[in-house]
Amino acid sequence: MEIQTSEINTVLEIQDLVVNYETDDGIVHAVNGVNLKLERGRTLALVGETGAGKTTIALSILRLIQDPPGKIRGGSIRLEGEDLLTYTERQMEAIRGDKVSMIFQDPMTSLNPVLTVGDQIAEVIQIHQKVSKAEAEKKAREMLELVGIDGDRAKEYPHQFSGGMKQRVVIAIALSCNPTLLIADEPTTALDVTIQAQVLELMKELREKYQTSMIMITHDLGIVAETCDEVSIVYAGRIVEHGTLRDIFKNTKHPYTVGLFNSLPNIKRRKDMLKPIKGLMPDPTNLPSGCPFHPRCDHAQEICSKRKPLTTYLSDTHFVECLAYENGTGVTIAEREG
Amino acid sequence: MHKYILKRLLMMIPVLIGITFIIFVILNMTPGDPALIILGSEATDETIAQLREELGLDDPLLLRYGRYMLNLMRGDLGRSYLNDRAIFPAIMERLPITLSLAFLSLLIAVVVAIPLGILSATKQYSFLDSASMILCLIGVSIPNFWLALLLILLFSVKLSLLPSGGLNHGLVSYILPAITLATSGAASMARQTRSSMLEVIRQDYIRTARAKGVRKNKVLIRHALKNAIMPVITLMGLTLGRNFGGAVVVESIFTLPGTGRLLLEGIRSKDIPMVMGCVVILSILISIANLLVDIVYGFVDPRLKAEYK
Repeated sequence: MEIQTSEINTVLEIQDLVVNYETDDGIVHAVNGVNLKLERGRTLALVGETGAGKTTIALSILRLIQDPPGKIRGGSIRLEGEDLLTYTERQMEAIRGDKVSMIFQDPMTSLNPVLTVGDQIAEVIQIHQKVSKAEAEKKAREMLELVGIDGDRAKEYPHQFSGGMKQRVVIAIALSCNPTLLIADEPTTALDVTIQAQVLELMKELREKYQTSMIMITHDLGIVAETCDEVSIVYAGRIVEHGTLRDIFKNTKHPYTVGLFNSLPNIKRRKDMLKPIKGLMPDPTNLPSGCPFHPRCDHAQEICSKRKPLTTYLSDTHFVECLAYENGTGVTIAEREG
Repeated sequence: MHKYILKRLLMMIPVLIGITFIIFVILNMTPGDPALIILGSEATDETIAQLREELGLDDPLLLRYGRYMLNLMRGDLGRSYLNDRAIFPAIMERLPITLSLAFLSLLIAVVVAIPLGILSATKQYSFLDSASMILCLIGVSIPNFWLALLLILLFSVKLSLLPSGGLNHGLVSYILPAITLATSGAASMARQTRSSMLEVIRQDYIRTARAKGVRKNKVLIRHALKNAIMPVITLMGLTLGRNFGGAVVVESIFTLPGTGRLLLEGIRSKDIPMVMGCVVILSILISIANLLVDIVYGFVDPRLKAEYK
């Protein structure tokens, strides 16, 4: 009985997901065994640098990775207990936009320039709900008003909207069928700061209204602190640290996570130089041996380049993949400053 | 929109002045005395001089051009040197044949090229894609007079399925000429459709449409094609224009009595008013074809409609 309730409460469970981009020039190991779990009504942040594999994880959930060259090579993605990787294309089409929907990064390019915004919202409603065209159009107007745009503007085209307004339209499309899971892929990156705050506020409001679970992909730790319950830090296609917002912000463990925090400007110590993480993301066609972060890690020992770190649970909610937290490896880390 | 169309129609005037002037000058530089052609080789110098006077051939070039343009504005294209018939009705009589040929071959090109282009784009690098692109390469490279002869050899001589020329069989008579004329246009249109579809299907809004759960084929038609079709429409306009020109060759081979053949006969017999008349009418048609393209743009792409003021 207890197992059943926990299953119902788990909206999404990804296990050992492996995604490669297989090109003539080599295999890009974009996602290398990712595990994550999301409960109903919770928001999970996927944080990491550009190229860490965040978007690939998100697109795998919708099975929308460009194939070729992208291939899901292993693992399972369970949505309310059903493995999406076993679904046919037809079954996936029924899921997309209905149970799982996605907000894309760049609102400037994610709307079709030759269709009215009303049509673009009504389309998703008509696909998934048994309504007439007129009803779908009426619902589309309501959705526009919900995201704070005058319903009469439904007959206008995307080029007549500003960037922030376009992102609101994209949000309206994503929420029109009241999804169980909403994936937001850097929804505010392309917007300026004042509009960012508005869009985030809107998303938070709507999420609470509809009890939607959400995955928020971002590299902005400020957004994470504002909107998320749990945080997964993604590095080279793996989750290197995961915990509640408090675990990650107050009890930071992984040297990479520490590096991310240190790269933020500190308003209290304005004269300090920023401390960026040295080096670049490793080439995903040729990942370093052992811990993928070791070439950039200040605390790296010889063993770090030889053995892959295991998942170490620090508490029920907090885990980290770093040899420093495994017993008997001899790697030690000083506590984070500040 | 109306204002825009009016503006475009007015812009045709300088284009026509330019074209007519160039043709007029060229025709006047070609050797051979029209009066001699009209009267034949037995004419005396006296009668020739008299006719030259009558036709105004002794006046300076610019004066003659001005006179021609004034008459043109009144809808008078002059009279044929050859048989003294009025030019305008003579062209109008033959025009429907050329128009049918040009539009029919455009239709064939569009119907073949667009589906082929879409198919190639969705199955990029497949056998079908390579095969159709090789076919297109052959299509653009093949000279249409040669293709015409091959088609006649196959369908008229060997298989006796279609007439080799003339207009005695109604619409059937147009089949081979229209295919001949359509080939190169269809080939370039298919290539254009393919490449612009390939570009569009990688756009973010296509991914958005897929993320909404829109069926793959519907994404292609409703979301991708509507964006990808723009350059193809441009090409349709150009193809239609080229068809009017290409009609000259095709009508000769298939002995269709259209404007193109009228033009060719005019050139052969140095019937200057006839040549001028045909060129003027064909240029107007080509300009209208281009105007049509611009109007269609406005309907397909809402971003352009706003600019049409």
